[in-house]
Amino acid sequence: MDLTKAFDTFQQTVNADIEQVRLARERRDAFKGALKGEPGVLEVFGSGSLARSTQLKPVHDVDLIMVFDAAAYPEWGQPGDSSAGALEVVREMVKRLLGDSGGTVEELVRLAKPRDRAVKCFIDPPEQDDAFTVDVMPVLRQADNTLLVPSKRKECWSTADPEYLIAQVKERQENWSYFRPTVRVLKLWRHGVPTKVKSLVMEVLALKCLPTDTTRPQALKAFFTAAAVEVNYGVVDPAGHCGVIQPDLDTEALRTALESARDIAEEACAAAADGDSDGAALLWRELFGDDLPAPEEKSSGTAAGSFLYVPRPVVDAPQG
Amino acid sequence: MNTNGEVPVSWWECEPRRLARDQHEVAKLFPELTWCGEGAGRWEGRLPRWPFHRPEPTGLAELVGQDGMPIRVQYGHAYPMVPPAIFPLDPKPELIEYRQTRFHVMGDGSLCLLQDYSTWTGRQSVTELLLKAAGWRVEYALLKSGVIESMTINGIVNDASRDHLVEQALEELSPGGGQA
Repeated sequence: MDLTKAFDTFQQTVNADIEQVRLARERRDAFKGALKGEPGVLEVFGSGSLARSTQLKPVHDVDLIMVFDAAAYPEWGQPGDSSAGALEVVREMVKRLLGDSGGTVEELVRLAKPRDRAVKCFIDPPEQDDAFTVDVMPVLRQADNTLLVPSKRKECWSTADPEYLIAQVKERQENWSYFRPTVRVLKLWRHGVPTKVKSLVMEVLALKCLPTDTTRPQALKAFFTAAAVEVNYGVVDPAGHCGVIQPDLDTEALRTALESARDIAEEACAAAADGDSDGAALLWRELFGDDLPAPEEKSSGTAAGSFLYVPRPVVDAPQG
Repeated sequence: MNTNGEVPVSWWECEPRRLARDQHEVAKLFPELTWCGEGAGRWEGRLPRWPFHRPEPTGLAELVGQDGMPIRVQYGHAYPMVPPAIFPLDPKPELIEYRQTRFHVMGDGSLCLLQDYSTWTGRQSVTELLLKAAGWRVEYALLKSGVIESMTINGIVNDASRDHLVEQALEELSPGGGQA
């Protein structure tokens, strides 16, 4: 079978429904449009997986960052209750501009609830499973272009740089058009790991371990091989500000899963190299599930045509 | 002759058509290589300076010399199931460069042209390895000049992304080059 086509078909099942993505972007843009004009607000931009285009279906949340003018809120950025205060400012703005009863710009938000770092704005009923939400985080931009982000729980502000990850993903996508799609595949793969793995963990591992100069099967094999080692060093904020991404990560369980995946990917690549694309497809199915197309059943009749083996070229094969 | 007095059978006695194919393909693309049937056999001679299907970068002859790289292509009796080893003779990689991925040099000084054993199935042409070796010569010059820190993973046979660096490498190597 044609492995490239099989991967393309699989990718379509992994990618979020285009209508879902469009709706999420529309809602994000409604928030941006409403909040941008407020006094004391300098910038409003998207962050999170939707901004990086690495979102996995179903899309049920959008992350927004609001950059406020420090001069308008001089007490922000200080330890104490200014974090809670900043979230309250955002909650009030969202309710006034976008509240479902009397929002002056659009009637969209049923409930705006301050959490630790952001205000969770429910567009669907809050009791609904996977209710669509927009998380709005107030921040201050520092001189070095990093952001000060609040924590209501810790009563402090800390430095973060979500734009760094956005830029890094964009750069890799420019080098290799399959980067973002393959990150989505890896995020889906993590659901089969017998421990909770945050999607951002996979994305950061991909940033370090997913090559951008080869085919998808070879890149996946290289990823699993490198990530099985990399995960032992800890998966930390690539911008170097926020430390470990998932403190409760069961590293051993993830490493074991990555090692198993590496072995299967190696077998699949070897089968493909030997011209056994059906065998390779079955192995990739073992790794990614039944959404990857199965080889066609072989008929037991006589062959319809002559079998021509074309060896894989080596001129562009990886060197050691 | 081994200890039992048996004369070993060469690979081309078992695979005469393969030897004929290699000789035909090599003669066509690499006319400066000469076959020597000693032991398991080898090719000796020079590779072309630029055997690729795109324009040669300006200044390449100045960077690597007019003539292509002299090499020895050493077959083993497990050929064609095991690829031949290609040894660069001038320049010869330094000992410190052996076994370094960024130089693509094996522990015996031959070129590491295939990352995975499974890539070589025994059916491909030896000329593909020779093309990679010709690319290695160019990348080695770029690496030694300091304009790159490591060779590409797949070689430059079909990758033009580093062609423009040849002129930069010449500047680096010129007297006073590379200095701010």
